[in-house]
Amino acid sequence: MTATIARRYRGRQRVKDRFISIFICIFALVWIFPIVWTLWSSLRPYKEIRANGVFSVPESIGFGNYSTAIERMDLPTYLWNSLIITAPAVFLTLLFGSVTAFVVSRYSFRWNVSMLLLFTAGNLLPPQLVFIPVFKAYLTVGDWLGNRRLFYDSQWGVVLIHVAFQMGFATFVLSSYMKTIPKEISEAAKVDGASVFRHYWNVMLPLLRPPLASLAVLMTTWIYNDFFWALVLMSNDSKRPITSALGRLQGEFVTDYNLLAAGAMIAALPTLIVFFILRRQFISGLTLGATKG
Amino acid sequence: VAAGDRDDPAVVHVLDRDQLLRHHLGRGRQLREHLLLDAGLLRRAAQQRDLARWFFLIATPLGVLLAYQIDREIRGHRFYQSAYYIPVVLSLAVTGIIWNFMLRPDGFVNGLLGRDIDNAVSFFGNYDINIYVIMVMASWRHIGYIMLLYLAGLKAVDPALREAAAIDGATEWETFRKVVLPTMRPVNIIIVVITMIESLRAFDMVYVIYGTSAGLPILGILVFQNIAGEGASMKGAAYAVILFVLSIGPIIAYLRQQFRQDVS
Repeated sequence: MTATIARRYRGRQRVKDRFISIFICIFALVWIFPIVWTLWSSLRPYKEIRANGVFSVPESIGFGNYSTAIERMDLPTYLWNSLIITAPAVFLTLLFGSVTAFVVSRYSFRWNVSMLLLFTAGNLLPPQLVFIPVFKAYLTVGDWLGNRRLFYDSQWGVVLIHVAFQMGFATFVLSSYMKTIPKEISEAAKVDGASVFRHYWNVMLPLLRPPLASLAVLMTTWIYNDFFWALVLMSNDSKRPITSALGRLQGEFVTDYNLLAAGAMIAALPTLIVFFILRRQFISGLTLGATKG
Repeated sequence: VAAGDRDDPAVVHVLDRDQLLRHHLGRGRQLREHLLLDAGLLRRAAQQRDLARWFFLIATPLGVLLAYQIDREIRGHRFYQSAYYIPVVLSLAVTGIIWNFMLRPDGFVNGLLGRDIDNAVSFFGNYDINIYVIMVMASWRHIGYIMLLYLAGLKAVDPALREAAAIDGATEWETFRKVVLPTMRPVNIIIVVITMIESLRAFDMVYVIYGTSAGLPILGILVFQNIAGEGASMKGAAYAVILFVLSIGPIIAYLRQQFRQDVS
């Protein structure tokens, strides 16, 4: 009896599902259309579009815009800048995050929860809000140490602010993961006389590999994609990462817009590659801490 | 008006419009002094409200709906999941350029409308239209994000619950509203909070279109506009405080939800 009703329910559902999937399919195509259109435009010379209109049949298609963009926009330099900001920032975030999470979840002390709260709260504030104090602090601390440009307008200043911003999230995710690891493992380590560092490095860290991988993927995309901090904390354009540089290039290459499309596609490439290769880690990382603002 | 503000053409423009508005109201300075607010601030508040409304009533429910349908593993659901999520992976700097391609005077949408450059619709320049442009662009990212978060939540709902509801003769909508939604309470709260935070964060979206000289006075951009450079004016700090007060509520709600399971 129950089985028949369930079967009838599924049968009706199948018809409905077909309509729904058609709708979702069309919607999905609309969703990726802007990207596809930009990609298409980047393969055509702007002159042609100017002369024949947006929908004109292409006379020449090729990667000409790409090679020109790499050459004229100095993209390799900017990509390199992105790398030397993103790599240390991700590494330090994971290092500090895992250390903090380890202490907070394995050694109880009084301010455990309030510390985690503070970290996470700071992480959610809009960056423009924190910008004034950070900017002033960078200049002041730099003056104290005798070099105004120590943090301001330096790659390390940007790395530092990324670490500060992302560490709360990393700590939160890692500490909730650590809570699922049985306490007995830690107790065994302590009984065997392992030092705190050994306990962290040889016992906990290997167990943290899955969340660390997910976080590394997420952090890489977030830090690579950010353009705000590099924009406000650096005054020298040649030091900026590619995402911040795109803003300036947008003004400069306004006369050859398809060239800019090629530049944008190159800037998007690293994150797209990371997303498609490590899609599983990416999604599990995002849902590990349930969310991030 | 601080001297620094006059240097910025966008601010001057906003002020001109406000003066025009006040002239039309026929109230002038009196009203402004009486309310201790200028008309511009009221208009900003209204735009911020419209943006929040759009996020809550259209964008977020759409993301939830997509998640609900994709969760039933319709054919090609993995492709759809990626398609909706790609915009979230892209940097905002790239997003700005992509949408410029759609909406610029010789772009796709104007081409579709059959307008050439000389009488194209100015999507970015027209004050009445650009709030909608922001809404569309922000939703492009927001919906995919919500979809993915909700999808993860739905995976945790026991399928037996839905089966039971179907056998009891509940329609799809009833099942969702009375069975699925209540069991998803923690995720729902997170989604609401994220939506609030996102609508306050629209700064980034405005920035990629307009640069610092913003046409659209969202709170975030006002903070930036008034503090950029070392000659920071206190007006920027004041806007920052408003933004802080608006942000802290949702953040506290979010943290309470997150740490409830954690502490117990």
